[in-house]
Amino acid sequence: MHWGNWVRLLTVDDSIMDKQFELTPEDEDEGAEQGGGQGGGQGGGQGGEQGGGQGAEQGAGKRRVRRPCGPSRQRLKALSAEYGEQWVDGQGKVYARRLSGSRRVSAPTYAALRARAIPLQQARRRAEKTAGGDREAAYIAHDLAGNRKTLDRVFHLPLNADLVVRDFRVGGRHPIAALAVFVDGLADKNIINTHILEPLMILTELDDAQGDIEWIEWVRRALLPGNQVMEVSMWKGAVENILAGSTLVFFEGVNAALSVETKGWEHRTVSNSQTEAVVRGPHDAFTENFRANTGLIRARLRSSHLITEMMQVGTLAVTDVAVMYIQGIVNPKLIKEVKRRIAAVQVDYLADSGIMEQFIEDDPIGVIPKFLSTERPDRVAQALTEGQFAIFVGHSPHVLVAPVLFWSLLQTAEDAYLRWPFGSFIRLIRVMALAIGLLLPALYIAVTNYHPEMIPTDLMLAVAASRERVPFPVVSEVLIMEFSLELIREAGIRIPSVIGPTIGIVGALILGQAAVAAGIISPLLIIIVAVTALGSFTMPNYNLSFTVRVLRFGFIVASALFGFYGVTLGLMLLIMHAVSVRSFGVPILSPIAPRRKSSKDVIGRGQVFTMEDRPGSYMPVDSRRQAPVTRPWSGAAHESDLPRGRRRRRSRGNA
Amino acid sequence: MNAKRLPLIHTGRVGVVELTALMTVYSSTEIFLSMPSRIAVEGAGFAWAIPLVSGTLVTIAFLIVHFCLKRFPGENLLQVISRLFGRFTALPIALVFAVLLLAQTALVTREFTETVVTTVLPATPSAVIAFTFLLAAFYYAYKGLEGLSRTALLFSYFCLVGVALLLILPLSWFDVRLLLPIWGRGIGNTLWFGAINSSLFFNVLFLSVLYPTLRNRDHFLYVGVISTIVTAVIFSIVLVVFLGTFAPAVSGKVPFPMYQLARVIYVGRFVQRLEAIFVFLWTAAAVIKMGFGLWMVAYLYALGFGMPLYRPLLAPVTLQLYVLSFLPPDFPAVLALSASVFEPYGWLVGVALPVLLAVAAVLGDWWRKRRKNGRSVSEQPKTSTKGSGRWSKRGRTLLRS
Repeated sequence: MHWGNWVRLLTVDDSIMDKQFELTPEDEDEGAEQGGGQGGGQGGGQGGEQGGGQGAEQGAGKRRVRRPCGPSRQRLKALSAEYGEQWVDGQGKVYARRLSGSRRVSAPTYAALRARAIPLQQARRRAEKTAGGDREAAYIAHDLAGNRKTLDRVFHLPLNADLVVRDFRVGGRHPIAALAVFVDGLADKNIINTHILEPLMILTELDDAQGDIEWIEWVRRALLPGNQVMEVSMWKGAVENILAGSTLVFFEGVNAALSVETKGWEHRTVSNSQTEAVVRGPHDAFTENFRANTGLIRARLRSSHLITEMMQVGTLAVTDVAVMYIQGIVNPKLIKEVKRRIAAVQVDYLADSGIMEQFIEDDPIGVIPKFLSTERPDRVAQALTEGQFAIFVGHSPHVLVAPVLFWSLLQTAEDAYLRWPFGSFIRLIRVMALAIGLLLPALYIAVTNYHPEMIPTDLMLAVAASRERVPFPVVSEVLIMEFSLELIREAGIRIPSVIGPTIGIVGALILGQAAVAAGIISPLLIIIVAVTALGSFTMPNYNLSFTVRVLRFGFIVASALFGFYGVTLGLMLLIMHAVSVRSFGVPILSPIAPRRKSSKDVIGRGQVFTMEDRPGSYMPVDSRRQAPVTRPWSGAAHESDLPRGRRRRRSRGNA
Repeated sequence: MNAKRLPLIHTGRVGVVELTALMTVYSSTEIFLSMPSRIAVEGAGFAWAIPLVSGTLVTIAFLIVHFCLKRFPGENLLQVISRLFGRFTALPIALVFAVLLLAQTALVTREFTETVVTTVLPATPSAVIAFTFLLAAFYYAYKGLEGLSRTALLFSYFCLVGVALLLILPLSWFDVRLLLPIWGRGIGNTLWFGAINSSLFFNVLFLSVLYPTLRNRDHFLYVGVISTIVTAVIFSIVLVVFLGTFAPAVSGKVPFPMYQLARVIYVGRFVQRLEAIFVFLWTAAAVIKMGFGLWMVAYLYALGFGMPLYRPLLAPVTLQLYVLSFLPPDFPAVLALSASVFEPYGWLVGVALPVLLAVAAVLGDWWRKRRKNGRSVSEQPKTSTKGSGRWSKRGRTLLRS
């Protein structure tokens, strides 16, 4: 119970006046079109001349404010606090580590290293003092022993059994001590053996000829054949790389490490879609591998404008989050907003995209899903081309697509692959299924309890006869059956697959003959409940089917109390809720309410060559999807031959 | 006198089609109440022309207001009045509007409550029905104009189909001779009743207050004219069918004409007695009508007193509605009140007052323009619209943090 919302009705505070994020065309060209005070000064000075003027004033005011400490500097400070801010050298001199980036520490060249010839003992002493402090250094140190101690501290070695630290020496006339660090189970051991240890230990011949190049750069360029090798100088990056499956190689006398990409953990291969199966269309689905998932999209959508922005969420354990979109199509305001919301998620661990969804959705109280959670790469690729964006969360096999419209929750990928009459037909079936799943039991109660006169007399007599032996009121009867059905459904998911078939037999027995024969359920109700269940199973979106299941009980109660009147009131409340819900600023019932520009792809489905525009609800930067004439061979005129009013409006089919 | 402008209250953006649908649904919901039988008595066989006359008059009134307010971009009628004639002139005007709407919404609440009790839930106490209605209306008003207009648009599709069915299915009873004599009680009487019944349309009042909610005020011309015409035509068609089905002499005795029309539907053995289905229509229409009325009362009240928000007012206004709706002792008293007070005098506030104010505003602006040597008040630099009193400091507070 959210008491805050009730208290808010009686409270006046500034937060009520705060405007939610809305994706509207008005915001962009408001100033231009309303110049000279045309149009309305929308509430709170949002629009019109006043709003614009005030916005400018505020902007100017904001520029004058000087922060004593910029955000980037604060981040560095926080980071240094975690990994230690200072180190003390052999003479007891305290060196403040670089925080502002002004003091650059570059890796020494091999020649310089030899010239310096730091005695090992001195290095060891310094390492002891450095690593002996309470906190670890923020930067990787020159000496290997110190780095080893930092590793031990960060990863709780040797308590932590699955972190492998391999000591070795880089070969050549002057062997150099080195460490390879990786997590057993995350990294591919074959790659480590053949691409790191073997080249460095056996095949390497370091000589003086490379004196002019930085030593570590030489190793990276010439000696490590891994496909992704990266120099890391800070511990934070090093730790994250190790935990992500890379192998870190530290060298004696070098204050940086090389991260070699060796990810290779066990995961499910790309397989058939479990929850969104289709007859026609691709059958592959996302899997529990972040890169494989993004790769599935890349493989389909081969565009250089497809952008994958990486972010990381989690303070205890980092989870990779990728925001994928197509530059030049998606509205930049959307991307800015989603990154703002993701950056605001401060949790210790983000387990799945389902949790991310709850953190960043618009209106957290409500029954309507605001994301399309899908496991089909083709759906995500199609959504990206329409101006939506996708969020990949860690190794979750479900990708979030937003902003989403309610109608697209009722659609499947298959609708688009079928010819338009059939696509429209199955969509219409689904809309009817939604109505049935939501309302049928409630209507049954209303008719039998309150409005028996509206059904023909014969049918009414049949209903009455079938209910003659039943001792319960209709509503109890319906609730018993609905509850048993929910039980069967839940049990069907949880039950071990070995004994799965049993549930079908048990369910059929309970819901079928036995209940009727025992005289506690009327036969007509069996039909009602079965059809309702079919209706809610038809929902192509798992979250939406929950919406239907939960709301159905609400409607049952409403109709038990007030008949049709109660159902109508409930329906009106639901509609009002639906029209005011937004998914990333986009009203979820658009383009119908509010009306927005759209192709014929909402409830029915138009011919594919007439759907030239991307959905206007997402406010894409480029709204054109295809050429106005896509079937020139079929006798259609060229665009310039069309009457002026029809140019760039309708594709020509055979007309 | 150059008073500070009234602050606007955030209503969200409203689309042209949505606002048109809201205005149409709000006005034409009257067909589900006793309006058709009242007008049928007034106009006899020619009663169907009365709404057309009213619609024409209201359209003219709207055009006057529209062209007057074009002079003041970005402001609604109350803001213009308060800026030109001082803040305290706008307050009583806002209160008059609010009180009229409050009383009207209370009557509508009672009428719908009685309709539901009489037709589908005879055993349920009126108080329970009124409470549930007002609960829904409260939620609607809480969600504001944006949600109301979108719901109205969605509902209007169903409503059009439903009303069309409701008018077509009883056609087996339709007898065109019942519409005779063709001039009814005479053209003069019809014109007079048409003028009086312009209180059926509150479009002029609403739109003059809602002016800043649309981006382009030329769209208001569309909203005002189309919604008035569509409503008038719907009224007229309903009256034609109603009069042709029940004779004018009888029709005055029918308390819920649309319900009665639904009852007489008999298209074969299977399609008959469909009145329960149409409960959907009038319950939905009632919720939208009451929700918008409630919202408008709170909005006008907040606007008049210069409040930045209307939502905290909703709970008390809902309570007032509940109490007021039960003041008439019984349903005939409600009908009598409606026929003796709201019909003859409602147009004074709903149509005439906005026109007068708009004309007064233009004259006032013209006068000030003359005095200030050709500089229109509307061209003056605008002051903040953020709020008044401590609300005006809000912008600065944000900057400081």
